[in-house]
Amino acid sequence: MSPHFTRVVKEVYGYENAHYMVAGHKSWQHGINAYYTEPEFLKMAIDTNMAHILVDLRDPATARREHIPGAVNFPAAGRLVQAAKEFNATLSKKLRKKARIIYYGDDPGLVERFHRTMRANYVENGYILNGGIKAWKARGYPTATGPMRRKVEYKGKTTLPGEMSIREFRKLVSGPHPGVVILDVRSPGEWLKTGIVPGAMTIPLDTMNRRWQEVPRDRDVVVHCAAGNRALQAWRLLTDKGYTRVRWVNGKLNKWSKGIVKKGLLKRGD
Amino acid sequence: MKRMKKIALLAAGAMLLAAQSQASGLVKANCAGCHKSDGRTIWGTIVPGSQTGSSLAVSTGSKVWKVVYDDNSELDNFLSARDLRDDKAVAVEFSRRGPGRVYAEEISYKPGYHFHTLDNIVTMAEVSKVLEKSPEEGHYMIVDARGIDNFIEGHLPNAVNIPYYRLLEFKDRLPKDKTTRVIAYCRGFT
Repeated sequence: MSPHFTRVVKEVYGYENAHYMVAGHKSWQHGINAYYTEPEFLKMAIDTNMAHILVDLRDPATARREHIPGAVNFPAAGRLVQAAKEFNATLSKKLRKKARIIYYGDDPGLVERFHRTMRANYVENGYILNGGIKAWKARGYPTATGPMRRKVEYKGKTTLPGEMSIREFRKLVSGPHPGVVILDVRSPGEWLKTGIVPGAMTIPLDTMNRRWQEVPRDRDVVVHCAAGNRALQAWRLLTDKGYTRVRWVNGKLNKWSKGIVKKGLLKRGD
Repeated sequence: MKRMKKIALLAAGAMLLAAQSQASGLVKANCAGCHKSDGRTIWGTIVPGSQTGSSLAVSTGSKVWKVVYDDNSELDNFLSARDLRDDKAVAVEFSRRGPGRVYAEEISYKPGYHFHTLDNIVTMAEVSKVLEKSPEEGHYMIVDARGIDNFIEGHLPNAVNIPYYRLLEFKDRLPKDKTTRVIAYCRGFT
C-alpha cells in the first residue's frame, strides 16, 4: 500500500518530500521500537474476550484509585529493571506467545522505556496504550477502583473478529463450497498475474466504496487478498454496512494458493 | 530595469505555456511535471463513478474526456474500468475523436513505486531519527497507509492513519503544507 500511496501523494497531490518505509510495521515491531495501540483496540479486546494482558505501570496508590478494568499492577517508576524482571517472571511460555501485552502509565517516556526493556530482554510481543488512561477515559470507557491483581492470567481467544485462518480457508477452497462466496479484493494486476480461485467474485478493495452492493447479503462470504490487510478492510466495510455473514482470511496467499488459484478465468468487460 | 524586463518576459512565457496546456486540455496540471502532451494522449484522473465495462471519464482539470474502449483496446494490467478506483491517475492513448468522446487505443494506470529501485525509500533507522522530534518541530508526518483496524491494533509513534484504499475519503488528513516530509508505511514487502 505505501509504495502506491507515496507515488500518488507525490505525483498526483504534489507532496515533493514523500517517502516510504519499505520495511513496514512488521519489521519495526520486531525491533525494540515503540509501538502503540489505540484505546479502541483494547476496548474491543475486552468486549470480545480476546486474550490480552494489561499492565498498569503507575504507583500502587494511584492505580488503586482508578485503573482500566482487568489491569495488573507493576509499578515501574524508579525501579524499571526490577519491575520488568518481576513481570517477566509471571509470564508462562503460552502467555508470551499468545496474549497481546499492553502497557500503560502516566509518563510516556517511562512506558516506552519499559516496553523497550521487555522487548530487548524478555518478550517479543508488546504494545503501548496510546494516551494512557487519559485517552481511555476521554472515549467514555469505564474504569475500576480497588485493589489490583499481581497475578498475570488470561483467557479468551487469540483471533481477531471475523478472522479465518489459512488452514481453514485452504480446506474450504480445496473442495466444493456451494453457497459460499469467495471474494477476492486484490487489484486487477494481481488477478492477471497469479490467477483467481475458480468462481470467485472479484472486486478490488479500492472500488468497494461504490461496488459493495454487488456482494450478496444472504450468503456466507469469505474475503481474501494477498496477505490479510486488505481482506480485513473489506470485512470492516461490509460489516459496517450491516453484513453479518462475512469472514476474512488472515495470511499469505502463497501459503494456500498452490493448485487452487487458476489463470485465464477472467474475461474482458463487465 | 533589465532584470524587470527579464521577469516580465518570463511571466509572459509561463502564462503562454499555461494557456497552451489548458487550451488542449490533455494533461492535468499535476501530471504536466513529467508528461508532455503529444496530441493523442490524455493524462488525467478518473471521474468518480464514471467507470463502466466500455467507457470511463477522465478529468484533466480544465476538461472532462469521455473515453470509450472495446475488445480491441489495449488495457494494461486490467480487464474492465470498473476495477479501477475513483480518481486514479491514468493515461489514455486515443486514435479517433468524435464529438465529446475519444476512442482509446490503450489505457494504462500509474503503478506504485517498486521498492527494489530504492527510490523514495527511508530506512527504519532514519525513521527512528525523525521520531526524536515532534511532528511540528521536525516538520514531518508519519502516515500509516493500512486500514483502520490495522491502525488501532498497532502503529508507529505519532502516526496518522490515512488508508490508501480510501484515500479520497481521508485526503483531508494530509498536511496542509506540501513541503512537509511525508513518511508512509504499511505491512512491508507485500
